[in-house]
Amino acid sequence: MSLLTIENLSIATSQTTLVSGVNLTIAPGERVGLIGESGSGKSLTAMAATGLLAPGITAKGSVILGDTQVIGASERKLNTLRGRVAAFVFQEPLTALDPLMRVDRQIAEPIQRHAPHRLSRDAVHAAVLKLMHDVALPDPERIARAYPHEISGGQRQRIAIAMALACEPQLLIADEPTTALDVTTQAEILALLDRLVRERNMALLFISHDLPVVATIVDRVVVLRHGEIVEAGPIASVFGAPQHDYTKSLVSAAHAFDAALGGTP
Amino acid sequence: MTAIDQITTPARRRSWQSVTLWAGIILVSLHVIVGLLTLVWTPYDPSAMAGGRLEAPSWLHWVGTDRLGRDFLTQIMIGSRIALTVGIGAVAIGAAIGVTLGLLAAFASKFLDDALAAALDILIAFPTLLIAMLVVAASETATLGSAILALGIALSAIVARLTRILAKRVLLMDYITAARTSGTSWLGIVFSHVLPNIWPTLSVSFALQFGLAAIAEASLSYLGLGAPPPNASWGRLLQEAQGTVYTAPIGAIAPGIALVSLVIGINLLADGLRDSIDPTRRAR
Amino acid sequence: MSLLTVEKASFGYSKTRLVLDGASLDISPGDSIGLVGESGSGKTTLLRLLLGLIRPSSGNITFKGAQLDPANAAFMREYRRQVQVVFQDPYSSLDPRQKVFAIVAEPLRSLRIAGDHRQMVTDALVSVGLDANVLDRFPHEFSGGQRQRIAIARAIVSGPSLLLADEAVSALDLSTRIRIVELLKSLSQTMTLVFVSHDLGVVAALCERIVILEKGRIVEAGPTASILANPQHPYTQRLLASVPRMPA
Repeated sequence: MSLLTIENLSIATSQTTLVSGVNLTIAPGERVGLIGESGSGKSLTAMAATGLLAPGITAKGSVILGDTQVIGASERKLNTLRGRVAAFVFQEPLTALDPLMRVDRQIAEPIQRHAPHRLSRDAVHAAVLKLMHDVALPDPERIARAYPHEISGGQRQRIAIAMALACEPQLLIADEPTTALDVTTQAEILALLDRLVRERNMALLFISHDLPVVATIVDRVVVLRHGEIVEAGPIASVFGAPQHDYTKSLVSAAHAFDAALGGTP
Repeated sequence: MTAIDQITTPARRRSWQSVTLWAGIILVSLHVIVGLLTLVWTPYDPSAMAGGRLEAPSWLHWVGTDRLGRDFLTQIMIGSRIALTVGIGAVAIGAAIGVTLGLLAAFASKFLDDALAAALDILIAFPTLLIAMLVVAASETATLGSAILALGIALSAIVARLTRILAKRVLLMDYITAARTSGTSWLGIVFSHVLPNIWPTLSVSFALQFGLAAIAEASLSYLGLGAPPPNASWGRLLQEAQGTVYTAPIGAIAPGIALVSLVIGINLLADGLRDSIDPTRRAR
Repeated sequence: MSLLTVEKASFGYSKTRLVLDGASLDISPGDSIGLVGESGSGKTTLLRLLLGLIRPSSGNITFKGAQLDPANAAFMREYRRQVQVVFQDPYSSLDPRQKVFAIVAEPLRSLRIAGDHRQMVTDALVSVGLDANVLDRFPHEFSGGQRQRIAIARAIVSGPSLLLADEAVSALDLSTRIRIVELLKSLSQTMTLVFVSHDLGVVAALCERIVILEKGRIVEAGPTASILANPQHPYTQRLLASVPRMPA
């Protein structure tokens, strides 16, 4: 059975249709990339997967996450899914974290919220440190006491990933998680995500506009344009032999920059 | 060239906007027309006894007469002129001082900016009316001019602080740096970039302050610190009607309605104008 | 003779913490140079020094042999005409309340350049691939790529000899990005280009020379081909290895 099944999803405001007729399934442990440029509806599609659309934006069709129909579900019901079945990592770790809360308390929050029974302070602290260790944060005891602005962008994104992992989700949704980072940091975060997804046997929905980045981490891609899927398939076939003109133009642009860099060093 | 994304204006929003805009235009122009009319014609001589004391509304005196037998409608019409004069005058003075100070602070070195910002915060902590009363008290005789000046100075602190915040936000934009690297002088940057970009928000604030000034002038007059007779300010009418509010309530209700209709009108007008002078809003 | 020379330029808000530390750079006419670095590398500070927006704490910048002095109005007027810039964010770099003509004509107006401004603006717009009929439109009517073309038109309207670009394609979508890179590349045939970016792929596609900055220092500089094929400094090696590649 698949973990996420999106069928004929349409997303619209009262005036315009933003996404239409999107179909997407993700099986447990599968890695899927959602590629699109700004305004393609890629983030909206991901948000709709956990019922996180802003007020005034409505989704139609069917989104089944785990075994729950997300569209039309109550907030209460959705809250049991969020974090536990699917968890998010966003583009900008600085705005995803509360600037006035120390790092350890932010990581502790999802742990406590989803714990079956009340945890002791020591148990929470141990769980926080374990998560920080899992995302390979150096000097976790020091960083745990820091505020978000006191640590680097890469470290903040590791914290955000740790928070997403707190409830051991089956699906990790990463929305442009490396776009705001430096190139060298991006490589580290991609390697980290790759390892975590493999070790924890999670499924991954990776959203990005950057083709080479997507290629390093997923097996299968879906290309969105103006809210519609133009092409979908394994990386090798979509990037190797794109069918749609739009995909062709993206792939050739990516290859042009790649070629300029010469052979792999 | 690729097609430009068209974002259509939701019809409902646009029609609602035009309703508020038109309601504002009608209310304000009513006051303006009445105010201008009083310069050349009033139903009765404002200071003459035109009828009996405290007469109820009738065909001869639509809003009745006051305790001296003067026609009340005449006084309220003159009140429109006074309120508009005070509003326009006070906002003009407040804008001139406030925008200049605000821009100076926004462009100034950090030290001067901090000093100005602190001074403005202290000034704003005092109620507008209190500052105006102090200024009036400092001048020898209470005239219409001193009331306008007083309110203008009181409003300037609010304008200055808003201008400073808005201008600082604009100064962070890349198009300001682009202007500097294009050789545009600081004064040029103020007039071609900063003012046009802060103007929509400022003008809405000016309208709100026009309303504030109209109310504050009524309050000053009510306290006897406003324009002296024969300037029939609504505030003075209210004060005079205070003693007879149970026997002739129209004396308090009529100036009240006049004041409220002007303030609401100017606010509706401001809301409508904001949307129509901002090109980014106009297209959306 | 070199066009622009930077000699041991340093900049810092305090003596102990320099944002840029002893950078030297020699730009010849016709060069296309990529200044590459990550956040905190000092590349943006170096660009601001070149634009005369800040003065170096120590060191020297000369343009055609004359010292760059932001206080010298006559020099700066000529310098601004000769040295123009394109910014990263095409949404922040165009005044939303000005029409395209006013935006592109700003250098002509401010630098009091003689001539038929309408014709000069039209020529600049056409050379960046826009129709002349956009003169009376506002920036919000255009897409990101078109806005960046307008910004480039403003930068070339005064006929500069040196074009600086600050991450000028980083905010654009991939398909738009490649077209703007092609535009800048064609412009670099006729003017000197200094392209500041964190994106090695774009710089490699656009520039003949690369300067790598790390933590305020220039760690490596040289022809693009040799730096890519044979990076010497460990940081350059790490940077190059970090760039994600398309699958073969």
